[in-house]
Amino acid sequence: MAVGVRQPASFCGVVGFKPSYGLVSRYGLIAYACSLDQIGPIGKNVRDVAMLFDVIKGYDKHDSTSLNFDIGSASSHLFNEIKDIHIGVVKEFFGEGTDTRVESSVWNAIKKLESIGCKYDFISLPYLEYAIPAYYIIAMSEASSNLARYDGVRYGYRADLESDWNDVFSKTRQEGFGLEVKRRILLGTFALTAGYFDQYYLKALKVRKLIQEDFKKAFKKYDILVGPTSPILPFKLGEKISNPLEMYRIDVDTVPVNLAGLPAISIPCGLVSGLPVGIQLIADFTEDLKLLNLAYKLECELNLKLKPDIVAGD
Amino acid sequence: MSETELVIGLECHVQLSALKTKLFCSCSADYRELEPNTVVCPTCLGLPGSLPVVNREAINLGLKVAKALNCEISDKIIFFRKNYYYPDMPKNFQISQYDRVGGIPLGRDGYINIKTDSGVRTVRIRRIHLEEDPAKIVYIGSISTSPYSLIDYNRAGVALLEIVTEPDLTSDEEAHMFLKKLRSIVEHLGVSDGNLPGAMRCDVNISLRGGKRVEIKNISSFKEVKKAIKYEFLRQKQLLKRGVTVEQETRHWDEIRKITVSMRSKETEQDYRYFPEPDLVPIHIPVEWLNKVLVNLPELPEARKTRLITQYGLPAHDAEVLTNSKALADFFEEAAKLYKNYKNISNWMMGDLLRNLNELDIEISESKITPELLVSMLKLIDEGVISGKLGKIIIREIIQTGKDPKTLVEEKKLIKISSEETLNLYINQVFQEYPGAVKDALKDEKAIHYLIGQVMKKTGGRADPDLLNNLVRKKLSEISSSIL
Repeated sequence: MAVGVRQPASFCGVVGFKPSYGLVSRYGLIAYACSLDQIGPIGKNVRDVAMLFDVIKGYDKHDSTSLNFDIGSASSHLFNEIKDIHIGVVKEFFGEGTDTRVESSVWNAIKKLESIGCKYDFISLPYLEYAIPAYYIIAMSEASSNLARYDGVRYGYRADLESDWNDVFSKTRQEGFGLEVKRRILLGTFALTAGYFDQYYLKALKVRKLIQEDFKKAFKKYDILVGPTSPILPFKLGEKISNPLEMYRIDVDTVPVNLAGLPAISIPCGLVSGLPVGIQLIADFTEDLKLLNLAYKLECELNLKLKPDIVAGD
Repeated sequence: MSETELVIGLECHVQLSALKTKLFCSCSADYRELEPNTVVCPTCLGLPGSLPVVNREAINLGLKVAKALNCEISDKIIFFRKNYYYPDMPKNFQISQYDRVGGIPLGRDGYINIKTDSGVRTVRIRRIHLEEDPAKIVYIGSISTSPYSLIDYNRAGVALLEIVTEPDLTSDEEAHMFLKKLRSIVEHLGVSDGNLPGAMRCDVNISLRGGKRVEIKNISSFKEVKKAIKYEFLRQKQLLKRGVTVEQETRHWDEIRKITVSMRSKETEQDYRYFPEPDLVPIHIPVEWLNKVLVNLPELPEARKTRLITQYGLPAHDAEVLTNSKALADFFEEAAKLYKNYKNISNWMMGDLLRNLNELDIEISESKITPELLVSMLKLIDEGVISGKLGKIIIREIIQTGKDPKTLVEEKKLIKISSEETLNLYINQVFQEYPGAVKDALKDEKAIHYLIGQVMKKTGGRADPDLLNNLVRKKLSEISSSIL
């Protein structure tokens, strides 16, 4: 799942890396939203992640969206000297709803970047405002179609019912899918329905294009863009399930990157009340090595020794 | 069927059976007569985690057909997902193409000319696109009474061309002519073999002028199309006669009961929720690619027809009928290599061969006759070993058994009787048995034929007709002079 690497990594105080779309084959990945899904490694540190990335990346003829070129070895590129790195601090990532404690932790990391020789200034990507609705419309539309195959005919759960295929399909899916999955299938189906297609799906594709252009413009000037990985601190299991809009909003900092297909990494940048905070670094398309290189340098400079408090029996 | 009131449009599905592999995976496309569910892989079964990869050769074959049907050809191939639930769909969506919201079919705005009783008619082709074949549902007996159904995924993912016409057809006969022509074109191109069961299927949109459109699905062969149209025409006509409006709906052709059955009405008409297939990137077709595919296109039926006229001196009508089927045209040209009286070959093919095939309801490829056998029979006639009349009798046997005409002739003692002595024996017998007819024949020239017919019958059709004619007349004049 698209935000399933950086955000959980941020919440757990580890490193999560989403490579450029097409660098890691999706063949074998159970599809949720094909045009947004990208497999990426999660690890203890940037070096582990880079080493795993080296193993899983590369062209795959079984995935038509796979990129047919070699970007080189990420793990050996980590130790390169960095010079003349220009950082853009994305204003929209520090917008309304961002926990000030998260902000100050991320700023602390930005200062560290400055101390290792990076320049920074502010940049605005105006269309990021529409990233969440665009992302969810595209993701749910694709998901509604990708999840259609779970009908109980060939594999997986099948309702215990002897009736015509229509009843068996319906009962199987009614019993087999969870609440959140059903919600997404219904919304995605709605967005693709004739009469709504133009105002939802097509509009979302247009927004996606505008966001891609926003990033493209930004990378003419900046090498790396930064901001928090998540606007809030980690929350408790199940805490947000009853308020989906709030839950979706937490993805505000991660999904724009998926819409644009760019490489991005979350690395821990501190603890607030014992809870980890992640900083997100974003690079231009296929600049994955540059991204990992800088992330590694920042990680060394931060030199965090994160050990979460584990409360027994909670 | 009245030509003025019927409006028919066709949606033909032509399997690209010349391909070695399926459209989006490397499974063999040759799935027929195999154990069910043995030519499958994760991709054509739609297993989670599998992805499609386009078979480039399928695009090439599609481009050839688009060109042959005089279509405007797209410079890019974009696939769409057509979403609907049905048990024959492994993913519950079909990877297909679309002509709206940024989609473009492989070919559009083409045409096929067909020859009808009222002259040449142009049938416009709205679009041609590539898509994957669903699995095959096996019913237990009739579709409408089957207690359960089985799914065979061997067919799932085989490359199909969907060819959609404008509603330009006005009778079952025209629809049949169109389909024959289409089949001949794809067979001449070498992209599909219409003999394979299910390789060419067709949905029919049919309405009586002013009425609502009814779609008939599940027609498994071009032969059945004619029957389905005929049935549906009568059904709608009956409804209109009784003042009942024809509802817009989808009906299935029940091949066993030979009727159409309602499947769903307009209220529940499908919304396919088309959107661009995110697992496949658009494929651009540069001019060089297109040129490479379209250079050296095989000879098409129209060109072959012209050639048959000039090269063999065939009448236009013969050339038209022969080239409406690649198998027939091939048969003719093979025979022409062995036998130089081309018109004679054509006459026999157009006449007795086709008539017998029609009566037996089989295709020439299903029959046992070969060009060599036909030619061998024609030579026997030319050499006077058998009569033409006998030829007409044994050709059916050759079609059914594939036996050498020489053997047949010997087995059946069919050799023509051209001995005067023998024939006179038969003639004398007939003259004794039918004294009245002899009397008539003496007075009336026309009555001679009755006597000749009786002798021919006695010889089992083996009498040399010219000799027989002469001998009967000679005998009559002998009688006539003896009376005088």
